[in-house]
Amino acid sequence: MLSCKELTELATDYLEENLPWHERLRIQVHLWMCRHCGRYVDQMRTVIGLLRRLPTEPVPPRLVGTTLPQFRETLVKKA
Amino acid sequence: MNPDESTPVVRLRAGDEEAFEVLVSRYYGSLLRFAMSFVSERATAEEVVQETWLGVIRGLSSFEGRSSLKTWIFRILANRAKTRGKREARSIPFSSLRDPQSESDYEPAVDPSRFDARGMWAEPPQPWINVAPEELLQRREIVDVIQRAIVELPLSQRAVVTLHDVEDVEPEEICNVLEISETNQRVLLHRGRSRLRRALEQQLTKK
Repeated sequence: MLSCKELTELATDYLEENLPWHERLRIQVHLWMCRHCGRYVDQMRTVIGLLRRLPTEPVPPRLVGTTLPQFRETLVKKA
Repeated sequence: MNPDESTPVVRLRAGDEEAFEVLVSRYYGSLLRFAMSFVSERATAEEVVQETWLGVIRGLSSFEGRSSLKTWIFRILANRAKTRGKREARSIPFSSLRDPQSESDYEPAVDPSRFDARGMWAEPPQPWINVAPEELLQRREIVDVIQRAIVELPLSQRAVVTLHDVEDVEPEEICNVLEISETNQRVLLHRGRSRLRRALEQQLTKK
């Protein structure tokens, strides 16, 4: 049987669906029997969920201000 | 190309200033975050982002739409950041990106002492606060822990995690932007995420 330690190393490939079906099956069987690993995989899902929703910084107005003239010069003139 | 991205390209090429402003505001945060995986100083990262916009402006006419606009911009940033690193003689460990094995040969996802001799959990993970990510992110201290944990990742892991999980860039495009193999991309993503889980474990374990 797949060990818990091995499972933690396969967690990302499992979640990204990078594994062949038989490997996937081994993991699913293990997860079915081992609640600790179930919890581990859920925690990895939480990590991914948090990363996907991280807030981004708003753009400081001065940055738009300094890039816009360049844009004008290169593209607006040509247009 | 994404249908919602083809129109902006057309508008940008036609010199539409509003479209340009929208683009800059939309990607500023993402570009800054990605730039920070190459240069540690924020001021330098901001300059890299600025240079990236100039590159975008100059390169728009040759953008072929073979990748998404976003990936194309990320690639410009990666190139600028690397050039900059060379010029400033900073050691950017992106050479190690090509070979994650050399970074440190063994980087387990979980501290090996938490398993018994058969590799079964001796010290299993404890339940986390049962709250959806959306709600967790309402808490300033949680956001801080994640941001800090990302900053502490080795740069190569940070770049891959940022592109894959934060920016939702396709794996093939990540390999393309960072010039790494698919295997390396997978290893770096796995190691980065595992480190982040460890960093969050203390904060999120129910007390």
